[in-house]
Amino acid sequence: MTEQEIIEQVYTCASCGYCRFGCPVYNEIGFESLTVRGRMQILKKILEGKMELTKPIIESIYMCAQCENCNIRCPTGVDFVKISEALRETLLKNRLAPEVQLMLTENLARDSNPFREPLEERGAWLPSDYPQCKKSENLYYVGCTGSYSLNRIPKSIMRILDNIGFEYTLLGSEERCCGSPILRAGDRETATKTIERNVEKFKSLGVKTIITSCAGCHKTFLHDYPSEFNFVHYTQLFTKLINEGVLVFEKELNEKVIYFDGCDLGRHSGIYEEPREILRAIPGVELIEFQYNREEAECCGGPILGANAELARKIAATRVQEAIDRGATFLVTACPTCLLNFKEGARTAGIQLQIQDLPLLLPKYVKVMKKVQTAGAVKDE
Amino acid sequence: MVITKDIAILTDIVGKERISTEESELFCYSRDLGNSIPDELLKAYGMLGAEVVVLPKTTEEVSAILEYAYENDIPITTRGGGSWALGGVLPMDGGIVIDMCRMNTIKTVNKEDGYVDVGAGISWKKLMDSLKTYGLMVGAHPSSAVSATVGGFIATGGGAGTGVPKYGTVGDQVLSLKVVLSSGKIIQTDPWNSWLFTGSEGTLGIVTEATVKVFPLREEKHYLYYFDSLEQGTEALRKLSNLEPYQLSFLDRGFLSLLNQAGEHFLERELAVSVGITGTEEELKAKDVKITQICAAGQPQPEYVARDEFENRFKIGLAFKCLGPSLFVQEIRVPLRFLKNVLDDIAELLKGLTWGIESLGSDAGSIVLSVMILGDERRELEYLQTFSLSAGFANLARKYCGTVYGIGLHNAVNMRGIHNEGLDVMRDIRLSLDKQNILNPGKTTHPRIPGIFVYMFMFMMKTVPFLVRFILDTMKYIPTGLLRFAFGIVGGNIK
Ligand SMILES: Cc1cc2nc3c(=O)[nH]c(=O)nc-3n(C[C@H](O)[C@H](O)[C@H](O)COP(=O)(O)OP(=O)(O)OC[C@H]3O[C@@H](n4cnc5c(N)ncnc54)[C@H](O)[C@@H]3O)c2cc1C
Ligand code: SF4
Ligand code: SF4
Repeated sequence: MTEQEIIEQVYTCASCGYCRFGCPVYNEIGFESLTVRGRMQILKKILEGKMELTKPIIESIYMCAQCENCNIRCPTGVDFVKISEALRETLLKNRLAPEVQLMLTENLARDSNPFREPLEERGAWLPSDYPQCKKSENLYYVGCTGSYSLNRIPKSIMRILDNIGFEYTLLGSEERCCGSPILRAGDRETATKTIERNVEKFKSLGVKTIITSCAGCHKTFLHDYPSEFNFVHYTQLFTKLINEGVLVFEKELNEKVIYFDGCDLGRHSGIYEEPREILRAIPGVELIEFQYNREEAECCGGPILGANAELARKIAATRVQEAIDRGATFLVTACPTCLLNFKEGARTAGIQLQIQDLPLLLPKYVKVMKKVQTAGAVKDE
Repeated sequence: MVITKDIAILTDIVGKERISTEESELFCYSRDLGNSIPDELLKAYGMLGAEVVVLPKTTEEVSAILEYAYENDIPITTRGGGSWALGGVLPMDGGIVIDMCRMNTIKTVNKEDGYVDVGAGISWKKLMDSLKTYGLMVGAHPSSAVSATVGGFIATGGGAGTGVPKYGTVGDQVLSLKVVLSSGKIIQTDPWNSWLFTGSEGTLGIVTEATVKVFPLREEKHYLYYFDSLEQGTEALRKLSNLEPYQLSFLDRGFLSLLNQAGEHFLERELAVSVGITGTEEELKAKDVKITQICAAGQPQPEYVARDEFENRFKIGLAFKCLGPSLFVQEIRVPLRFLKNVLDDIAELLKGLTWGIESLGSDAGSIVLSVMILGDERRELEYLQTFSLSAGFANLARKYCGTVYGIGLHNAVNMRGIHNEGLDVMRDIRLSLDKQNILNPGKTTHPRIPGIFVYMFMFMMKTVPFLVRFILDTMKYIPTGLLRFAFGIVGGNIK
């Protein structure tokens, strides 16, 4: 967003306060300076040279999950997420970003993952003899969380893909961050380089379709990568396989399941029904909903783990509590960030509820009825 | 003035997570919907701005804050969603801003007896969404339901909005209120004395809990008609109001045209009239026939279009703000029988400006007009002229047995003209409940007069506009610093 566009939006904001309605940060803390309305009012004064850019103001710019809930409520079309991206970029360039953000950006540029894990260990979770970087039209892009902290997710997906004989490749140790956390931190330069490098890699393997299991990667591919590739989230692929009779659920899951629409998969990618269709296909599942679901869903707080982990966990705990209050016995997500934040949030708040990521449920309940093609297999640890 | 000791005591009451004296925070709590009010005007009004903000969660906390403020003569400004356009939440004399939005729980839903008991800081949308699960709905709600609080709508009198033509104003919905008086005393009102606090604009007490009526969710049907003739459209509105519709409003040609400029797709006719009805199947059928008859001269739209427009009611009022980018809103309540004349007079009053009118359904054969006037606050002095229109609107409403819709800060200067001797009675009531005059000072019955030069400027605008235009034109060639000096406006920031 250009400076002129930001100025226009700042003056367009009506200060109606609608943006507070589903804002996870505002609803947890309750102060106006953490709402889009407050930030627009402050920004206006800064632009008019009537207010100094202070530390609390800078911090408030990072206390935003970029979940876009405010966008859906805004009657005047203010897009705070775009504004905040531009602001973070400027703050970073001028080294005015908070210390923790500066460190995060340096780590991301060096390690190409947000966990400060060594780059060379990215593929360590794969069996050493597992074929990587072979030529294929289909790429399963694992992402940082799958590669470093939640290997069980890619393994579950691969077990199904392998069992049905789906032909695909992995990048393994050659994989890099998709750019999502780098963009969020405002480091457009590194993000652009990362994206260019990834695109080159995809092309060199003849990849046409990129399958993801990380909602953040999927959203970034959709919005920041060239549209010459076909981006498919595993929930879309599996729904298709269920409808074609390739996958069938036999074992029952007798639970009241509540599905959480994470922002990256939901509002940012428009995938709402596929995860629900998969859950409905499992016998015994009684699907219930959060009060605000699909486009209106309220963020789990995960994206602000870096800026304020305590707040992120409190927001997560609020969502888990709502799931319980609505009668759920099982909370299912389709985003590894939501999963991690929910588990931590519930643990910190001492709330008990079964929480699971969708792909981790699948191997236990799904049965392969027919093969589509042949491919290698992945072994469990 | 709030001192360190006061902050320590307030922190003891609400806890350190729910109090702030951070400068940027105080700034946000010194602004509201009318964020485009020029700083110079606020300065001319002498606004000091918030000195401390607290977010209480219980009535007892509110009571403790007020008791302390009363004893120590600290001004209090109560804030709900901050969505009112009349400056009601601006902390004129500094002091404490109490943000009520943390008191947002639904305490009781009684389906059998038809009421709910809620914290005053809950937004109408949250309440309505939650009631749907029980198959219930509220009687009346404002078009700002996404941010407007139950307490804010009650405090501003809630005389117009969806549901009002059928179920009455917000005062008709209230069964009981929990109110904290300025001394800190907590009272529970009955339906009768609830009326005292309804429309008191935060000057008589702080509403912390409200018991309001709820109704079973019923079938809804929506209609949208375009009228080519103002006479026919206004006449249809008058007749439609007798049917007790759930929703009754219109958009005028100016409004429709501005919406289209902002990317919407409306037909540009004299009036677009929306009607919504609820009830049993038979009731709907009976009203359907009557609506069709009444609107025979209009051009009907498919039901899904009408429903879409209804669903969009929270957003439409601000949808073209980008064209300003500043928006100056004037609201008056007038009898429907004079609507045509009122619209003609408004057109005369606003000659040369860009504006559009949206209406809100009201009761007792009246309608509330929201007149949206576009401007650009970055052209400070020109924009300031628009503020001089308030008096013109007050006079216009009076001419047709109507009144301004709300007082707050901006209409307080016209109070004598609006209420005559009634103003003295209102002042007596206020001072008998709030001897120290700490609740929302500078508003409603106790106006703040803007600085003398701004006032003179506005006065001239009203009386000798051609002279002012000449001055404004000449001013374009004079440096801004000099202008500020000439108008008695000292540049710089107001807290
Ligand atoms: C798009 C839009 C549509 C609107 N539609 C309507 C409409 O249909 N009908 C209508 O009447 N208005 C409407 N309004 C104006 C406004 O939104 C309403 O008056 C609303 O009810 C104000 O509620 P709030 O919580 O935002 O109050 P605020 O703006 O926070 O406060 C308004 C006044 O009430 C006082 N107050 C707030 N809470 C309390 C409390 N708990 N106890 C005591 N005093 C309190 C404040 O001190 C202030 O003086 C609209 C505004 C917008 C922006
Ligand atoms: S919802 Fe939009 S217009 Fe309203 S205060 Fe928020 S950003 Fe501004
Ligand atoms: S993007 Fe989400 S967290 Fe950020 S201001 Fe909007 S609603 Fe709040």
